Amino acid sequence: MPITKDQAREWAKTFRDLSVRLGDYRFENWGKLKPDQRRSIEDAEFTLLNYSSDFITTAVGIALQDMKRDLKAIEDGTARAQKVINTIGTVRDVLTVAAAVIVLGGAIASQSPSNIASAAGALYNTSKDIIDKQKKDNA
Amino acid sequence: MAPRPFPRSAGRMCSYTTLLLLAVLSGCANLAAVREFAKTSAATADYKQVVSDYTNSPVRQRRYQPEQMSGQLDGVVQRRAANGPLLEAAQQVLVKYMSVLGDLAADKLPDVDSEVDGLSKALETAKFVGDGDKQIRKETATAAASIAKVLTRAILDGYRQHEVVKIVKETNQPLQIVVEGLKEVLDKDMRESLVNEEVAIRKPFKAWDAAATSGNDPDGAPPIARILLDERLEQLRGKQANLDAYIEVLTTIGEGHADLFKHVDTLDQKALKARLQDHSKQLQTLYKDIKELSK
Repeated sequence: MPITKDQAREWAKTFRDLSVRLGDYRFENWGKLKPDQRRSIEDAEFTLLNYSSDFITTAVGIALQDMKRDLKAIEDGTARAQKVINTIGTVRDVLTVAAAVIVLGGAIASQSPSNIASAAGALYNTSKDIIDKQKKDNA
Repeated sequence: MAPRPFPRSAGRMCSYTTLLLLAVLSGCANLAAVREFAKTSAATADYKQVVSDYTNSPVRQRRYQPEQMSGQLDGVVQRRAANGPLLEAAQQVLVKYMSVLGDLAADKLPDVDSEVDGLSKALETAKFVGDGDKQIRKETATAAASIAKVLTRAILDGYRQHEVVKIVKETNQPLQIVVEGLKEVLDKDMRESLVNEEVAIRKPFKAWDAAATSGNDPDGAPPIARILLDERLEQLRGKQANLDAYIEVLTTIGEGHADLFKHVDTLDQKALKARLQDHSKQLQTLYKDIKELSK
């Protein structure tokens, strides 16, 4: 059964407390202990302390995993806000294209081939500029 | 082919438009306080320093631990290194959200005046505007263009406000869960990590003290050991103070967003604006404190 973050936190504290207690014993009995005994105790102290640090790391990993779904929901909200900003920005493009379309409509109504060609060229360039800009924004 | 005629009753239409315009304008709120709060939150939510303090803690402990512990410490270093990007990514999700919310609530809407003018000119070029029987009169077209400019802005503003409300409502719950989750990681795990580091730092100094005392040298080495230990611990206190400040930043962001969520349907309310401004000020003060601590 996988452990929970609270269990990992509890074990982290327990292992650290044991490390501290062993250390206290070593310092209080320094003169009575042989050097190799002190070394063995010291090794055990740090081993326990590193286990404790490892359990803390485990707790952080579980906490992050628990947040995954909510982080995704915030990302969705952000993407939506960004889309709204983009939509507001495109209003200007829509008006620009509309103006070019109206000019083309008038040229077609006037039945003047040169006016039609020039208006169609302007509409093409306007649309191309906007599409290029949007491609750049989305890149 | 003649252009399609425009109705001569454009004047009456303008009156209706003015009424519509007033109705739209009355529904628009000033989002400056929302923008300020969101932007300040985004700027202050960056906690790279505390993440780095956490991931590097086992690296810093290396010099206090016996050589033979390096293999075990390496394992912790590697696992923390894997935690780091995830912690930063979680924080970046918050920063990005607050930043985009601030952009959305920004005062500046696209200036469409020149585009509306271009549209009016296009109507003229295409001979929809003029003095002919089937054309719209120039003064009417000019008046309509002026109204169109204001109306476009008002509609955009209304749309924007409507979307801000929707986004704040939908995002509040996951945001509160993430803020609480991150606070818990900072307050419990990162703090405990610093406690472990303190234990690791104390051990060699205590050993020095114990060895000196046992060798009948209570006045030589022990006072020096205490001074050096205090210096090391002072650095840790700075890291703990950083944690406290970031926890407060996250608390303020969570409370501010909860406040916004609670009153999002009445964004124009003076009391809400004042509270959001208070949250922003508090965040700015905390940010200054963090900068001071990081010096």
